[in-house]
Amino acid sequence: MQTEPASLPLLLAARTWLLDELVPHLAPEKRYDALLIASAMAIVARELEAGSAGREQERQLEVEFLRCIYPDLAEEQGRRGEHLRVLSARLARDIRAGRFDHPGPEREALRQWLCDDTVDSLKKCNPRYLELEESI
Amino acid sequence: MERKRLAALEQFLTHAAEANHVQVEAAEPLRGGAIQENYLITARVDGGRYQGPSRMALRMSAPSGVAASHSRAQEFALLKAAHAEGVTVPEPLFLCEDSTVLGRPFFIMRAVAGTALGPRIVKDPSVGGDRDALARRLGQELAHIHRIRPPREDLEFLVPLQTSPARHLIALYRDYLDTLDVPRPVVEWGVRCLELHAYDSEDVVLCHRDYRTGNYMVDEHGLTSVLDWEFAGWGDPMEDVAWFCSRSWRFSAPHREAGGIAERTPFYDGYTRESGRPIDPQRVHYWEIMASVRWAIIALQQNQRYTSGEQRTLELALIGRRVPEMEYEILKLVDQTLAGIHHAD
Repeated sequence: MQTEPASLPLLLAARTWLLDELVPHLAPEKRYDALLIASAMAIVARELEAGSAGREQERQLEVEFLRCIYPDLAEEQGRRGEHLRVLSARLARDIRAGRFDHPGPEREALRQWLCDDTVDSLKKCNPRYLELEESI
Repeated sequence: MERKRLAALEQFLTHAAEANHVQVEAAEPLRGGAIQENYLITARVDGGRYQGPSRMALRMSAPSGVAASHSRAQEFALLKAAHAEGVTVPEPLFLCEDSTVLGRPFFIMRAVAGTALGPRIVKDPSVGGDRDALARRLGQELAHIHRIRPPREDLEFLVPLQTSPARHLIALYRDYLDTLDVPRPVVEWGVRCLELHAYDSEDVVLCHRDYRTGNYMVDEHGLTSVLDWEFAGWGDPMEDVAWFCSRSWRFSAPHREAGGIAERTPFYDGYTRESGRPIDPQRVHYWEIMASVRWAIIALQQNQRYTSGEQRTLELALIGRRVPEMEYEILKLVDQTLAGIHHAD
């Protein structure tokens, strides 16, 4: 049974408490560490928030990309972590070997996938970075 | 610092300064540098040429370093070379390679006033003086550093390049990428672009290799010193120019492309006037891709120090989450390269 508050609100409450109630009383040389803790909590909160709905959407994008570049991987059903590792390794190898050197639909699919994946990670790790940037 | 260490330090300083006695009144840790430990030493020197009250900075190796960083003896030699060339650096004083004194090797330099905190320098106009003048001065200082050229007997520990600086680094970064548990396709994408556009440098000079906002000190009037020589090596001069301008070191002011403090023009201008070397925007663009690749690799390396259990600090645990910032830059800069767009100025 879920006890209230749920994981995400509990984490956010702890973070607010740290920032509002503790940080103002800390010696200046300890504040930086406290802010690092708050930053770690914020990242975890955003990762929790993205949750399973976000993962499903990522999965869809991945399948579309794989159909274009690696049809054999698109058919495979494996553990997601392992699957992504295999995909990254293969992409890394093929990029290095020059498979995407020339303009065309393969390179465009790769570029789009890399951009989507990076923007998605940034939304969790550092959304302010994106606010300051032009989009890719 | 514990009492026993302080006594050992006093004894070392007395001998090194050729004094009758050196009394250390305080040794406070200085923040900054995920890799080295720094202390501000307040001392009183009795006798010899350093007679009187003295403020010194002590720089000691951290328990574990990153592979690319120099030993303290090497960093000391670099500091001496830069000081002799007229670069604004803290005056190097004494080197101690004997680990029995403080547990690890260290060196002592004269303490310099000011702040080096990058985010603060970018945000707070009360430090650093006029920003265009500061950028111009930093361009001039960099030109001074680049006057140091191989071969140099005092810097013989610096790896001689067997190939062009760009190709040397591409091979080095690929070797590192091959050791990662989880490959990084975006970083590979950047490295491939660098490989396809690699060129032979006409000019090989001493590159600071961490010349950026956060690694120089300023007071309210302007520059007081250039710090952190632990990554210096032979390279293409544009590597330093691009590292200084790269997005990561503009902190909260990405629109001020020269280190978050000014436009590129005064920085380039100071550099070119002092060195006589024109700046080719296309090459700087190239080296900005290299800068983002390199910073991503350093972050991955530091993160690995956490995940391997070598050094469990929260800062190292978090640094892996910064890699997407560098990857975003790589994607943006590679897109511009493919489209033939470079910085206008």
